[in-house]
Amino acid sequence: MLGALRVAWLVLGVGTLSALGLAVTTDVDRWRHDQYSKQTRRARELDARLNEEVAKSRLGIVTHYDDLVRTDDQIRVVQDELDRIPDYVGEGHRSEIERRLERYAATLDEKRDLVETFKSEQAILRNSLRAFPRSSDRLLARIERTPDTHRLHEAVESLQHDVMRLALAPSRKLASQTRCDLRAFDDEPKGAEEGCSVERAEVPPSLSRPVDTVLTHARIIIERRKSTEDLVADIMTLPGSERAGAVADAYEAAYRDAEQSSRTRWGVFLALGAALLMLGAAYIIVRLQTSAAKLRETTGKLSDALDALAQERDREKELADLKSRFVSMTSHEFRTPLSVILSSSEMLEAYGQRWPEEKRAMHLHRVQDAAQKMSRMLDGVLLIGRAEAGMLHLNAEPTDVGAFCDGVVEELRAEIGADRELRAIRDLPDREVSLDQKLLRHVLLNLLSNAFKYSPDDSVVTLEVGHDDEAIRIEVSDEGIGIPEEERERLFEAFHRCSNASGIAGNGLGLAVVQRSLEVQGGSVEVDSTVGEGTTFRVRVPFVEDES
Amino acid sequence: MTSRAVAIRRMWMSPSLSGRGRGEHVARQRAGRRVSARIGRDGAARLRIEMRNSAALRTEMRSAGRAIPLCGGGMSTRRASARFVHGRGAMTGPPMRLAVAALLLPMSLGACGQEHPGAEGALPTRLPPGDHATVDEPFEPIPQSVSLDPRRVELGRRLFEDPRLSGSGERACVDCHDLGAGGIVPGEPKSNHPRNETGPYNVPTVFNVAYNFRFNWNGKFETLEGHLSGPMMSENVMDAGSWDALVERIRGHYRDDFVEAGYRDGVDEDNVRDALATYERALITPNSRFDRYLRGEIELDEDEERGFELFKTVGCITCHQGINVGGNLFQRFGVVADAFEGRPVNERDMGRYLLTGNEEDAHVFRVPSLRNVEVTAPYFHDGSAATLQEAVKHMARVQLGYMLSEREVRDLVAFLRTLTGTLHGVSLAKEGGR
Repeated sequence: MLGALRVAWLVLGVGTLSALGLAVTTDVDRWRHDQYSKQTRRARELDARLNEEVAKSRLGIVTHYDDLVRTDDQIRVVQDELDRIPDYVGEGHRSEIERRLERYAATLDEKRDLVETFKSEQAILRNSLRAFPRSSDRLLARIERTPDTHRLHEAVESLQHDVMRLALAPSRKLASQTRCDLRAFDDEPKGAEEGCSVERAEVPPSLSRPVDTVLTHARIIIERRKSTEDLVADIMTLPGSERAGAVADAYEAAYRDAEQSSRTRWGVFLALGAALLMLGAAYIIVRLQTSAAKLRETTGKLSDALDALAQERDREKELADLKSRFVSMTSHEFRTPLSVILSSSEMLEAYGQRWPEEKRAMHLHRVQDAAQKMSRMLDGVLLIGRAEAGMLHLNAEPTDVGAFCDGVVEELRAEIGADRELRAIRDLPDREVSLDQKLLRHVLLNLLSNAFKYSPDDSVVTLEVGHDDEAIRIEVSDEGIGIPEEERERLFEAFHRCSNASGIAGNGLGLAVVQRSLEVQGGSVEVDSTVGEGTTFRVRVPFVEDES
Repeated sequence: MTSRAVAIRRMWMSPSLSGRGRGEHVARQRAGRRVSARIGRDGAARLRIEMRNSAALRTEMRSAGRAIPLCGGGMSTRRASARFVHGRGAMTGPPMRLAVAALLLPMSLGACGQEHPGAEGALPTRLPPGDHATVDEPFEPIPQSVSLDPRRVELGRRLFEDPRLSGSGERACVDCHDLGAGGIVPGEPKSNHPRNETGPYNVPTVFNVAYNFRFNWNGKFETLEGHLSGPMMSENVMDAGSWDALVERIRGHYRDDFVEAGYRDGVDEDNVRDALATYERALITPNSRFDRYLRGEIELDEDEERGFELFKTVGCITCHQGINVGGNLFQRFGVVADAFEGRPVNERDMGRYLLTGNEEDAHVFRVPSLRNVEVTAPYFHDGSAATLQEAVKHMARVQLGYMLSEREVRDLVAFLRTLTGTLHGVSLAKEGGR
């Protein structure tokens, strides 16, 4: 999970960075935009200015052409600037702007040509407008001095009159009129044509040159008066400003789009960045969760360990308790026979000589019994101790079970006396078997001793010895006080004495020794008992295998 | 413009540094700010703004040596280069450049009377403004000084005089445009055929060419830089072969000079053109008698004044007007009468028809400037008029329909002589004139 998140984060991070890079590199340069839109505005301004200057020139307000040249220059500069379309303009828009720039350039070229033509035509016209009245006046003066020039005078006067009116306010009527006037000077007048009936005017050779000059000026005025005005009208109606405006519009649209996409790109970057952050947060959260889980696990393990430790501690405490109990019980148990030994031996020492034989023998037997008791207890304690320390080892030897049992019973007789009845049922193995005699002796002796001790004197104790292929079975039954149900669990504990055994002497080690001995031999013990009726112990001891 | 730039502009209110000599000029000193300018040896102005408060930001800005053309021209911030000294990067980028431009604005306002050719990257402008005239006539005096990069002017001069530019290696621009001979071919004028046998056209003067709106008799070229291709590649003139060949020929001799002149790319076609054109723009001849009259400094003599009146009433002024007394329009040679009457018409007489193919452009030429006309004989595109008197008479007749009397011709010629200017303070006119 974490790995997948990490990969996703990396991928998203790369995506975010590239989105950022894209947004930054294609960001719209505000300054450049200002520059460019300024140029588009300027283009329109300059076109208007060009028109204005042409008008001023036409009206004679400005009589030189330097301004027209300078404005044209500035237009060239602006065109050059406009051709440099900013980088952020998209492809589609760029081609549209270029198209419109071409049209703008074409219009401007047309305008430039017309302006050049205008400049030359205007100069010529102005000169003729200035020269014509003067030269025609001078001509008239000369004609008056020349004889036989009445018709000529008339024709020139009429021409002057009409041309001047034409110069002031051209009209078609005047145009045709002046053309009609001119025909008077033709070599072969065409006569009546469109209402123009004019008589030819003879030009004497001396006056031919000045007449030619006047006629030339007249023709110039007639031809160019209207055409120059038309030229100016054409110049001013050429849609230079409109074309520049079209470029500006296309650029504005492009700029808006560029702004839009820039915003979108920034938006994408921000979205990716936000997703990146959230993914990062998710990653952190998941990591935190897994750490928490691990932590919990560790804590659980720790608490388990602690529990185990507590348990250990409890057990240790139990053991310590047991040890102290052991020590106190042992010392208590030892003290009793010791005090008997002490008292009896002291009394024997003090009064032994005066006592009769029986008394003396009694005390001696007391001392012996006490010593034996202590010895037996010591054995039991030692065995249990060795068993606890794991130092109780199996020591098997070939055993004649019958002889063994006889030996044990005989040992027991010394303790219980001859009166008690022991019934023996025997099913002995037909050969010697391998058993640990010492341990088995502990078992048999303790069980039999308990059976006799915890049953009335007139009851019978039954010893049944049986076997199978692998083990020997011993059953010891008595008709004694029985073992209460609730104390079965603690029956084999060291120093445990049942509640109903308080009237009978015992140190509580017997069954503990039995259990430890059986454990080492690999045997088992079962108990059946009814309080007040009797108890049966069944023991099974397996033969020791030869480990060869 | 950022508010900071505006603040700087307002701070810089003193008009101009133009006309000031070298040295330090403190324009403004206010609490925490000190603006000073220093005009260096190369004529470039260095502006320095010291702002005490903001961590000793010192910004040194240096104009590229060319002031920004203003009067009628556009403003470009590409010309100013800003170098930062101990600066924090706060003032960088476009707002800074605008601020720089704003700072240099008043500089150029004061320098309005001076020539402002285009700077690198921008198109060169034609007809830079002239001096202010007090007399109300459609003329302007030539300005008395120009602000051009002197390194480039010098480099251009060397190229202009360098015969290695030609294919043969024997002819330099200066051979046909002799500055001591009116910017045209030196030697005695001959009539009816051009001075130099190498080209079909009469060599026009190289003086005051910055004030022409087109170049060549047929007005083929719009810029001085563009025009250079004409004579360079023409077999009759320089026969340079190609621009690459030309650059190769001269590269070894100008190895570092171009870089020192501020051309980063060293010797290449564009820079050669630029250097030559810069030099040509520097060839102005101010302070003619007429210009001084226009500025109100002197009065014209009687014959000159009569000539000027005739110039106006006869009508020469309609085409020979403006700062260059001509040079700003096309016109037909032979308006009221045939200019070629009595002699055969050949190809070069066709004028712009050879360019455009329009019949209306037959015999149409670029109107030449009349400045220094006294010393640029012979006249017309073919050099067919050997003397000024011939030219004047011919013009008056075929262009204006006037038959001038001898007295009128004398007066007109007297006026035309007032158009002769000075080069480095020395009048171009020789003793007695022509």
